[in-house]
Amino acid sequence: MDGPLRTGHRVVVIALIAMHVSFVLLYTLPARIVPLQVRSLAIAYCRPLFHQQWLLFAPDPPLCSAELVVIDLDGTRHQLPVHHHYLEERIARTLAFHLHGAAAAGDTALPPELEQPIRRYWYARHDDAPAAVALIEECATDVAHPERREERVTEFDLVGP
Amino acid sequence: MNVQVKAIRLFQWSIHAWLILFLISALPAADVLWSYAVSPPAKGAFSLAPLLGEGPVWWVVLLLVVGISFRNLLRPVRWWSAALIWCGYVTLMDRAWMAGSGGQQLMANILFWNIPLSLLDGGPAHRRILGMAAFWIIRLQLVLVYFVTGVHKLFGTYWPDGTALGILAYDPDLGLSWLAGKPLLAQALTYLVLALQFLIPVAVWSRRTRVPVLVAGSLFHLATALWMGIPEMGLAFIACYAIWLSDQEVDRLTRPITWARPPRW
Repeated sequence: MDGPLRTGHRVVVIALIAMHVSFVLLYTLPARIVPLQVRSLAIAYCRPLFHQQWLLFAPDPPLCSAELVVIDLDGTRHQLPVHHHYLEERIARTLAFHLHGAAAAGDTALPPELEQPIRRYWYARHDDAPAAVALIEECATDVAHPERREERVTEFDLVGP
Repeated sequence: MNVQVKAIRLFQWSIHAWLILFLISALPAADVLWSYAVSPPAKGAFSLAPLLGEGPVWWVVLLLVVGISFRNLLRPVRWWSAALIWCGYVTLMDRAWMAGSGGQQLMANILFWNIPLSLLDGGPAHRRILGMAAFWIIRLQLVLVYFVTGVHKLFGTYWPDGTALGILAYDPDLGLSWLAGKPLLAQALTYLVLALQFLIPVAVWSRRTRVPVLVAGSLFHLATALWMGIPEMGLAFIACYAIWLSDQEVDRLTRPITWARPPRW
């Protein structure tokens, strides 16, 4: 690191930093405060290489916790994840999050893009076939009393092979 | 626009140590993450995941990333080693995106900028321009995260009214049950988290407040690692904090562990 940069080089450095940081800010800040055309530019710049999302329980924490259960042909219920490894738990949480969306949309058949990962996860840990999947949610109905939770169970048929 | 040479070395050492620890910690789930991946294919622009298919080839990628990371722990980081690690890491991350986290995303960005950062060891002007820009982009990327997540929270209802952590305390997927039934403590901690997320981007600029705020940030991230089920995320942020230190602060921090210093520090 041989001494300070020349003024012209310094200007280039500042321009590079300003451009990158501005685009990342426009890409990650809430969409409602970023004009659509500017945001489109930021998406084109960030999505391929610099994708990131910084919600972290924002704008609000979820009011429902979700548990994913696979029901086998005998009717036995198996909780996912099978192993309590933190990354397997996260896979189960991601699947439950997407199932929550399907349940909210009124689906009773598992969408294929969710059925495939659930089957793959199941077969990686079990030999027998799954018959159905259930999403068990416990939802706070009154935020003034978050301890009061209502259980919602949504069952999905597995339609694929 | 000074760069801190020792801080860069400590930062590079920390992110490679994080990478090794993270990938080793993932090994018990390696089959569902990579070799027989549960996640549907992702479309990362520079990810080799779609080309690799399934099976033991993923162990080669894993070994490659861990092996080069070990090399970079012990020797000066070269641009080609940084590029190989970044490419291998985003390939692994895209393959296992359902197990992803903000910490993994942060590290993908940091590892990309680590490529030009490793050009900062002298040579022609363009290397120094890219290296200098990378140094500041990494610094700003780190504090930008806190600011952005703080702004997102201000647009909600339960962070501004102080009830957010009180709600999360009853989520059995998290480890915050110790907060249940303590609404005042939950409210105080909610505002403390919010304040910290706006304080960090400001306080890191002053020599007097930088270390205290980074210590507070480390405690916050250790808490999220322990209670929020995102251990690799908390540790990723702490690993990256080194980029904000001055060379004098690095000397003070590493004096007790001189045996562990790589030769070029």
